[in-house]
Amino acid sequence: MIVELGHFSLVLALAVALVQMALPAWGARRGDRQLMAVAEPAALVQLSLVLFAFLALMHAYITSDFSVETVWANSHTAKPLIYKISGVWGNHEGSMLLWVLILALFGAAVALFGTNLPASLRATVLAVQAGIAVAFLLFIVLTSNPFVRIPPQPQGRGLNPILQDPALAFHPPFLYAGYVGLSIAFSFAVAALIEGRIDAAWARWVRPWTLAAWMCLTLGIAMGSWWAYYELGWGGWWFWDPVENASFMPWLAATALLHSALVMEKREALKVWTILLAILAFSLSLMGTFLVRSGVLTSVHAFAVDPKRGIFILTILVVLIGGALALYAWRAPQLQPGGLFAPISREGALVLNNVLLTTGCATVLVGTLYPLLLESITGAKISVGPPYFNLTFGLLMLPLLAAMPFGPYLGWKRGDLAAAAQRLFAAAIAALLAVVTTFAIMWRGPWLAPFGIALAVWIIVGAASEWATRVQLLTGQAGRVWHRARGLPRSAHGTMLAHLGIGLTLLGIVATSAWQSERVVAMRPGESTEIAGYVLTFRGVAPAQGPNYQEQVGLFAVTSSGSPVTELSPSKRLYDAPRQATTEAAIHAAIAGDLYVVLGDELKDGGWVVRLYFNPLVRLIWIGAVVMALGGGLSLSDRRLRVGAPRRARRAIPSSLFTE
Amino acid sequence: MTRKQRRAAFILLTVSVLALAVFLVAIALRDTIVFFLTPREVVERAIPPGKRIRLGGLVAEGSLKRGTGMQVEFAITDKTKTITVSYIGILPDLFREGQGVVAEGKLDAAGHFLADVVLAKHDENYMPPEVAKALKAQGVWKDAGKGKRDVQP
Amino acid sequence: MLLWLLFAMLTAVALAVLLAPLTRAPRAGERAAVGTLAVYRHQLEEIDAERERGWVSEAEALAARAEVSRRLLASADAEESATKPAAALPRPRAPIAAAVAALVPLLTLALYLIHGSPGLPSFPMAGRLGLPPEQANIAELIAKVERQLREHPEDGQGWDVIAPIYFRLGRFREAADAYAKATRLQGESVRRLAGFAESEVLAADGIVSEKARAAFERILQLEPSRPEPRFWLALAKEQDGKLAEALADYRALLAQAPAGAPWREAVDGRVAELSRRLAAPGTSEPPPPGPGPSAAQVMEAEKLPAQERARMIGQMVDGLAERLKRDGSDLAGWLRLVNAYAVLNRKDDARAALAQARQHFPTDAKALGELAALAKSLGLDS
Repeated sequence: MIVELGHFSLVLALAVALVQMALPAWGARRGDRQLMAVAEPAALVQLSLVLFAFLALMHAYITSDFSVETVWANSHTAKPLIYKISGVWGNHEGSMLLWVLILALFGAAVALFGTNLPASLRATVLAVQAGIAVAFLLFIVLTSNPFVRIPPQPQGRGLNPILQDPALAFHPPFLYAGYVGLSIAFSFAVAALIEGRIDAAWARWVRPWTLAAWMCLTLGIAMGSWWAYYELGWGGWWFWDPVENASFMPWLAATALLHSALVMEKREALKVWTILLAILAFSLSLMGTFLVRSGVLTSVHAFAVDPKRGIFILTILVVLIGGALALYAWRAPQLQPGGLFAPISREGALVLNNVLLTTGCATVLVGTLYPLLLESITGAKISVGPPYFNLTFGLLMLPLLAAMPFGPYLGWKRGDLAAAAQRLFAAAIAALLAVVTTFAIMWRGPWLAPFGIALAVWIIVGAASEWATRVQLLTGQAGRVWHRARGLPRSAHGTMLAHLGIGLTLLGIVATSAWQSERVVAMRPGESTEIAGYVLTFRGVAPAQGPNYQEQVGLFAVTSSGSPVTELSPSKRLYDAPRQATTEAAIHAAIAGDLYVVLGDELKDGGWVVRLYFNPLVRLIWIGAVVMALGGGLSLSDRRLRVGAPRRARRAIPSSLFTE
Repeated sequence: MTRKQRRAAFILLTVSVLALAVFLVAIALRDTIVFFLTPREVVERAIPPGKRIRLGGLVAEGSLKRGTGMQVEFAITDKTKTITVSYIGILPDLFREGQGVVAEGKLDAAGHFLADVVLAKHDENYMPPEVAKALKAQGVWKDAGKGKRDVQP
Repeated sequence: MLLWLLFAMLTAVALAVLLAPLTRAPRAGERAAVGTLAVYRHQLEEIDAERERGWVSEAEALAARAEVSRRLLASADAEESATKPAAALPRPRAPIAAAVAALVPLLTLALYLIHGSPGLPSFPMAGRLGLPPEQANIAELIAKVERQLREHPEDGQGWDVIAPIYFRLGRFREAADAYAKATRLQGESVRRLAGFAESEVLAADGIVSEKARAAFERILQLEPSRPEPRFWLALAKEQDGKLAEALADYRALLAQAPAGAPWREAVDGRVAELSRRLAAPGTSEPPPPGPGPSAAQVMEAEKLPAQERARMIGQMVDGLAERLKRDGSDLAGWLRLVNAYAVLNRKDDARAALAQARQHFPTDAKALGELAALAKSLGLDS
């Protein structure tokens, strides 16, 4: 009964979303406050109903109700509880429900915390948000209904074991929060176009939502990459797989949006561009959903291989994106142009950031869609791999990364490049030292790598020194530093951390790509092999028993210059349902890098194939991402961005208003 | 600087970045993409040795031979033509005779395929669409996803 | 009944909250500009703070202040002009509220009934009391046997028991493994060989692999009169591209088939398909969704006890009918459905399906012709 109640609740949410779409928008047109006021309770009711539906589905999974088709197809009684729960979104239908739940969550958040917005803007934003919800709820109810019932089955078919993993259990919620969070920026942009009025205040209201979405996206992507690293057993952390690209493109667009919204907030410039970017960022999220959900891609993520769904999502895509862009083409030329600035200025730097990020995003888009396009036109099947992306996206990011430390040093309107360069002296010295030391240690090459390291050091020291200048870490009195640091707006700390995080990630990427060592050897028990200064002795393989799998566990004793370091146990698992094998890598993490061991096949002579990697500094990739997200969180907590009720003005409009 | 000059400067920046990007994309698409072919296409198009391709099909039954150490040999077939593949390393978890597989590498002068990457189909219900499509086009593959469900008691 | 009551309550609560603002008077004195002004006031404060810290020069701070002030004034102006027409008089709200209160439940009900099964209670694992006992036992049985087999993989009888269960659950790969192990441990038998071979084919999504072919050939040696290995071997030939040979084999199989054998339809389908392909060589059109699994279902059904078999076939047919109800564009599906009803002696259903099928192809002469031919061959014309 709970299942049916959840189903009904979901459909009711669709009807409520329709009301939320129609009445407030109509009210905003007519200046009717009563109609506009329907938006907030509607958003809250919509959230409650979708949440109830989601919990009902979760209940069906937890109690293994195999009269529900999705539960039967994706769950199993012998599965650990956490994977019964994550199984809810480990499949197409459930993940779409999660998508809509997060959409409703963001809508309700706008209703609750957006009380400082002008009433008609808020009503329009919530109406647009409801429009998106209607499209996706309709999609779920008609083509991907998770509550479809079947005659009760004795046992479920189980969740793909490769998905039974803690990181993957929480990767989709974060990623979706990021994707869907961008819908708020989209709704704000569409609402601004409908209202025909847009100003600096708009940018400030959009920024916290974009920031929150960006944070979730950063963490979600990092989690996905971390999962791929240790679960797939190939020692790689990013494969430029279309599904990865589908999440990476919205991230690039969101990053650009964050920066352009800054310009708009401070100077009211780049208005037209920022609106476009807000539309594009969410469009890329939608496209990501389409690519992953429609099954047009070659990947483990393609749960749905049902063309009907693909066409439905494609229709949603065309209506939402096409509609928004048409509105943009119609209304954007009527917007007032913004403030002036010189090419060398903070604004100029942020424009450079935007141009490079969006162009980079476009190259990723081309690389992702080109194979699909070529196949549908000529029938030729190709794969576009890392070499393409390194050559295009990688090269385009170099100037962006090199210019990054300059940005925060440049003044608004007109900046002084020479003065900025002077202040970055320390960072330049550090980068130079990095080149020299790296060459000295790693003289065997590759010769480009030291420059990559130097670039990373340049960014890290540049970000840190900007912050140090602000708090007068070196020049001021020691006692005042703490005071100054506390006086600094939190968003300033946030910027520093986010830029620092980029540097850390880059450091990890360069080191791993340049100096990863890999060995594939056949080992018999008792034999030893050596990699990157570690000596591994193979002790043998023993069978073991997990909750829903059997495994063959290898045991390796690891020593470094004679002293024992650790023991590693990579394994090969065979899951019961579905009957499927997975490889579990064993990883020893040290400061210098990860020792990564994979157990392969058994050979005829009693030996085993063993694959070993040493990935120097690889952890910095994810640490950097976490630092970036922390920076985002810090900025979000800045009181200026806080989205609560308007604070009572502490003083009357300042006298400076009239000093012009 | 006048407003016009400033605007010109930004347009110049944008255009030059875009031009660079287009240039890079054009070069990259010419040099770095890899074609996906079935054994029959490899034979029909007389792919020269040394050209990097992805070879897809089914692992021929009974063709898997383990050599010394990690040397593995198997054949990829699309039921009309068959090409033998040699590979050194660990085969993926889901590698099985009679199942879909994709190998990346190049042909040697004798027409053997030297693979450096082998990908198997990702899970029980999944076959790389490229393999499925290629096989389907040749009338071999039966799209049976639906049938499976109907079989339930 | 309780369920419908809960539906009604849920709807009522949602509507009450949703429509509450329409019953209240709009809050008076609310100024929309508050938010906008607060933002600009904040910006001014920020400029002052930056000036105090010495990050900007006095001149820069002045210019920035002037800019923000201009925005502040502009937004206040815009707000004033925007609020004028908004002096809304209280309008009658009842029509809107009534429309919403009527449309929301109607729409919800209509959409819910597409996929909803209000009559079906939950079946949580914990309280499988509602399940027919033999099904509840299957879940336990599987778990028990699996556990036992893990500890004693040499227990051939265990594999023998679990193999057909796996097969019926659609876990074909495991079924094939289990049949193979049972064959190895318990010795060869037609039942095990057939189970193995069919599982193998279904696990490979309908492709007859070398192993499966070998097993089918062995069955024929042991028991030459069985029809299904011959069907599969013909299918294997077809998959190898030997269409003419396959067609001859199918025809031979049909010639010896007892009248009313449920698998005739599958073979008929292959014959028709192959004749078409042989007649029009060169067209590499993909074949329609393969009959492999459905043929296998029918074969499997033959081996089950009669009652069980009727139930299984009935369910398969109902599933097909359900699918065609949703998407009626599949002519082959309709032909199969009509045929199946006729074979099951459900003539009325067969006629109804025939009529429905005709409605789906009102102008397609070819489709109508095929339907008419089928109706005639089944004697449904009366």
